[in-house]
Amino acid sequence: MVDFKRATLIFTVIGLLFYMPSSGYCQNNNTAEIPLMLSIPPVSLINFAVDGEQVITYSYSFLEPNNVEQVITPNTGDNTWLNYSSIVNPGATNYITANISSGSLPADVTLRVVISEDAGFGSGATGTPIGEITLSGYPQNIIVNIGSCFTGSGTNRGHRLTYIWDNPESYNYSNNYENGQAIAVTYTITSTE
Amino acid sequence: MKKLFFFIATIGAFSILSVNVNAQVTSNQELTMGIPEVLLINAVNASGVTGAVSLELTTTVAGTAISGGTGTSYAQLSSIVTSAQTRKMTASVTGVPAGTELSVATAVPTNANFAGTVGTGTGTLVLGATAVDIATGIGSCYTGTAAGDGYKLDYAWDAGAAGAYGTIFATGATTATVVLTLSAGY
Repeated sequence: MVDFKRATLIFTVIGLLFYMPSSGYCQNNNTAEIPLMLSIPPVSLINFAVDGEQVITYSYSFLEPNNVEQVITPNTGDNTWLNYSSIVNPGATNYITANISSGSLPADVTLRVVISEDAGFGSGATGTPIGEITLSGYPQNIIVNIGSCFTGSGTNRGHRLTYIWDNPESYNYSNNYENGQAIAVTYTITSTE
Repeated sequence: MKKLFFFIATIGAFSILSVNVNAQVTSNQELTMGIPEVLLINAVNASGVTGAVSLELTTTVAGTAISGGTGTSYAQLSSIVTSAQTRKMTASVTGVPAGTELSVATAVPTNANFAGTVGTGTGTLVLGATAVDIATGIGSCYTGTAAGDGYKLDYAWDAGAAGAYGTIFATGATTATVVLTLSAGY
């Protein structure tokens, strides 16, 4: 009986020693962690920047920020800049197409657009311009392999668009505009996914 | 007879008082008083509970960079230092997506629930895998434990160096971990 009491006392003391904090004289829980949930949604935004001296109408919708439409005339010239922002998923790229979305050209008139290199005021993997295309009602690629990038916003930022009319005198812009049949070109940015 | 009785009563009263005065004794009780060093830290979100802080990096204007990933957490602590000792709080982070950069600005407690020497918060610092000082000169203090108590850590998550923008990829939700450490003193 005496031995049992002694053994109980010894085990109790040993247990208390193990239970005591190792520092003995310092309460220490000196690190804390904060989890941050980080998200980057895909982005494909496109818009025009137009020289203020040119009377060019265009439409942009916050509900459909991946396409813009521009009404052009034989005098539109080279005062339009295409700005875009792009964030892609791994393995994907964005590309931009152009097509005549409103109006029709006389049979002897062709409309071409030249797409310049990015002006270099943004950053990231800006796209590769095709160079020059003849516009039609079907969307054609004009800038491809757009990765995560931004071009900057405003004139002289992004890709300069230069419109070239062949035989423009056959196209009566004023008459067509008044009849709601002016030529409009839509630019659309789309993911390869 | 009455005078004799009064005289005897007076003598008796003085005798009792005298005995009582003589009965007062003093006793010293020694109190061994110790205040251990304390360095306890806890991290909570803006709601005052342990949990993740969500940040999103995006843009709505064509031609502009993604930006605007902001969030707030609080570091609540209790600190007791030895004399002439101060502590500092450091922060590091792992898991920040490529091409982006997380920075933090630290403000010391200002509401009514803190007390003591809370030191000085630093300005905006970029966080990385190597810990950097985000508050220094911390002495004995406590911050409180309610929502909004403690050192306010304002995070700003943005695109990083311009040359790395092309390495950014969309991500649904990735977890980065900020580690706060209260130093033992220096």
